Amino acid sequence: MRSFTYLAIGLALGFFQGSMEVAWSLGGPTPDLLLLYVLWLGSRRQTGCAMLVGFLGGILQDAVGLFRPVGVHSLCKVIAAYLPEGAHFILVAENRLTGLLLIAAATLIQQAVLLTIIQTFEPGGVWGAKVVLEALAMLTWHLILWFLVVGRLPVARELEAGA
Amino acid sequence: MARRDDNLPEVIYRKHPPLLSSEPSPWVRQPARHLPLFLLLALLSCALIAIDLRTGFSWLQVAAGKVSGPIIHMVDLVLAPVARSVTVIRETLTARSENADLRNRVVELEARLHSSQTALEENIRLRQLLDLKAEVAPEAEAAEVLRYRNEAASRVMILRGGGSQGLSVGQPVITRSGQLLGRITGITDLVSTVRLITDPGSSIGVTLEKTQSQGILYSRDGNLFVRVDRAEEVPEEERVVTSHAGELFPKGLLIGFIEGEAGPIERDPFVAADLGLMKSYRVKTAYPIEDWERIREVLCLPAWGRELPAVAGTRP
Repeated sequence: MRSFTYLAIGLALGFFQGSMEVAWSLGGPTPDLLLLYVLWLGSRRQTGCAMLVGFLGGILQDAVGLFRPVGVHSLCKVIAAYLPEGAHFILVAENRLTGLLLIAAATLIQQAVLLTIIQTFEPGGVWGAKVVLEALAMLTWHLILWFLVVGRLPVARELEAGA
Repeated sequence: MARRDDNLPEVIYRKHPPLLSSEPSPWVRQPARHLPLFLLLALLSCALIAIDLRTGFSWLQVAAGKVSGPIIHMVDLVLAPVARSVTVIRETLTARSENADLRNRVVELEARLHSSQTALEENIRLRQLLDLKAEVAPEAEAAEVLRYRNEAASRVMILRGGGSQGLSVGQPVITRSGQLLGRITGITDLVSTVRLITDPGSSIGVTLEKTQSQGILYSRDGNLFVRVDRAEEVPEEERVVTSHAGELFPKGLLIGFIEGEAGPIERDPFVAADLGLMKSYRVKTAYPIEDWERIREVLCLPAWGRELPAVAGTRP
């Protein structure tokens, strides 16, 4: 039941993220709330759910946000969802700094995958200083949001219980 | 303190003390439990990308667009005011920056304009000087005035330029309008001293142009007077030029115009008694004496002894 709730929230977030990418008028890149949600799920040891949320939410994000090809954000989110587990696989400890590192890594990996796929199928014009600046702007957005929202959330009860 | 119910290495707990959770992750014990799902979803994503590129999911985007319309509208309602505020702030900051740049630019252009105007005025002066130089004597030298000293005991002009520039003692000095100023009386390598015709010790032989009367030009209190024979009829506005009989200046250099008869106290102080045989007249210089301090450049005619044409003096 809990996984179903996570999934529903994720789909809603994917839908909202796609809408936001269409309506975004503040300039610069749109912060990827779905990516943050997927990472948050992953850091709460809901890796399977996070990957599923990332996959389906990514499809919705691309479909609503009129992004082509559909599925690119799904691939990025699936990779991002596996990052926390991968981090533990290489023996990174579980703390708030780890969260920041994961945010930075996931943002950069998503941008790299996005640009690689776009460049592969629609060559030309996506590299340069603008790409770097957009990646930095998105990274800033994500770090700020992580500090404001996720970083201030209380420690999960099931984690506290195990301490 | 972490609960040690696993077989993790001790170094994990010592080097990375947990902040959010102190419980060791079960993922470490089962590192690849989600790998199949990960691979499956990644492959599915790649397949989706491939299908979209080959056949397209336009129906999905159309359907999603229909459903998402209200949400997009809602997001736009929230974001638009923020975007407008951001735009206003950005434009204000840009305008302030541009304003500062423009102010600096205006200051710079004003300085450049001032410099250009100065250069233009100097150019005009030098051009007039060159024209006069070509007209009077090609060998004449232009010189810049360093200082104008107008004192009761001594009225001189210091020029930038001396022996190293080819100047020498005795050269007559005139303005760009042809007004005679004086002659060089002292010289060094770099500067020259011009004794002006208004100097109290100055005395020059002159000719009244129309009547050809001969007279002596003298100075009193910085003003010029000419002393001629009492029998001479001297009309007003008669041109006064240097005399052909003088030894200090070539003939025909313009000095000024007769302005009127001088009063008793304006007589030549160096002539104790003229026995009533001479009469003095005031001379108005072609270039007003009170403006001589504003003269920036002068022309030094070749040393006296050569034949020079008369200078057609003009009023400034």
